[in-house]
Amino acid sequence: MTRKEIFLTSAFRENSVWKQILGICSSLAVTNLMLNSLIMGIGVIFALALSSLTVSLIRDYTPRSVRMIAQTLIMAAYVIMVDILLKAFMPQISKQLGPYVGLIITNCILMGRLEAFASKNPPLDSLVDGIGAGIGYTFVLLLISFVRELFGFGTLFGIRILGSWWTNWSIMVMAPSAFFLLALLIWIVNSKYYKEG
Amino acid sequence: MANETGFREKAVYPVLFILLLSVVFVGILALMYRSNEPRIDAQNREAYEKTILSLCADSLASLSGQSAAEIQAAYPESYSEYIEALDQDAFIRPAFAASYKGKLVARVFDITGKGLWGTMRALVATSPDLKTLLGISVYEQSETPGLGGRIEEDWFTGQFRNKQVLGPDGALDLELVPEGQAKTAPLQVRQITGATITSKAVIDMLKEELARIAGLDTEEAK
Repeated sequence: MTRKEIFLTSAFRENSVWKQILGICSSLAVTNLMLNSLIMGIGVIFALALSSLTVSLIRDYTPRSVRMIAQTLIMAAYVIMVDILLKAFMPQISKQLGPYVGLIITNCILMGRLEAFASKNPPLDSLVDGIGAGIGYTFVLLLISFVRELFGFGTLFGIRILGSWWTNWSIMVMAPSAFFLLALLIWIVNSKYYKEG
Repeated sequence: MANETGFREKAVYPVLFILLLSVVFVGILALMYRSNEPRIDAQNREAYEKTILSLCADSLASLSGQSAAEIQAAYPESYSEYIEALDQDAFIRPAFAASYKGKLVARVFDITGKGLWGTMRALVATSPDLKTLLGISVYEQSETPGLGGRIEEDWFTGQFRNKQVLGPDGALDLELVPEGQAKTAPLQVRQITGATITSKAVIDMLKEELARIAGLDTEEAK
């Protein structure tokens, strides 16, 4: 597979959210505002890409018996780095994302890509795979938050789009809407692009 | 090379591997944290001072002619102009006084209490005589997100504005009523549905801390 293929596969064809149904918890939790989704997505791209690279670099030296501990440790380290950077440079967003940044560590997408791809493939391929999976995840978050923020607040990235005549749908701000929208997305994508068999 | 392969099959190798990996990554993290610590502290201090200012802004605005929003926007100048830190030892925890041209308009106390999951910290503003609450802001808590975590929301904290909390015999009891209740009496506060214990904890924290502060205050006056 060429790098482009690897990227497209991990970002869209085998998208973590709609194909592998991973990372659902955070897709539900942070998608009420587009900005939160974007920052969360960037955090995941950063942590996933660098963890993939690191895991791949040391894959020949990693004993099989402790490979998962090593992967978790590497992931955790990069996620804490993201957390420290957010706290230092974007305190407002750090506060809004609250515990979710720390929870990137438990995001199945990271563990999944590290175990399925990075631990068996060369470093650059793994980096591309990590970035791809991260971008695929961010894409889904932005899709959902686009609908939620537009209908829930009448804004996009905090900029007012719908006029004052618009009555906010508070259900869009609350958790249930994320369930509906995510389910709709998975349904539409799977019935349109993935034929059975 | 053969030697190395032999070593890698030994039972001690995985242990050493993880140890080395931990040392490297923890080292990097520690360095990163240390180098960003001053910046994070400064951010926290700024957020803290802005909270104090916002709690007193309405009272200051009524005297100064500026709007509350203008006063808050003028941070940090307005903070150093109006807010003065009181002797921390006298009140055990940080305390502040807001005054306009020498006239005391509000006092702010840093209070703490036990929530459902952990310690809560809040800033509470009172009138100079301590009797009336001007506002409260919970700035640190570890309550359940979406339930108890809602004690940070304005609709909840806003209920405490202008509540008479200190009677002649000490702190008054606030009563919790259901969240959906349309009208509340002066001593009633709408609790958060699904977070009864946390709501109660906030009320208790207020009562205990205000009683303590009032006690210290009269002692100091003597």
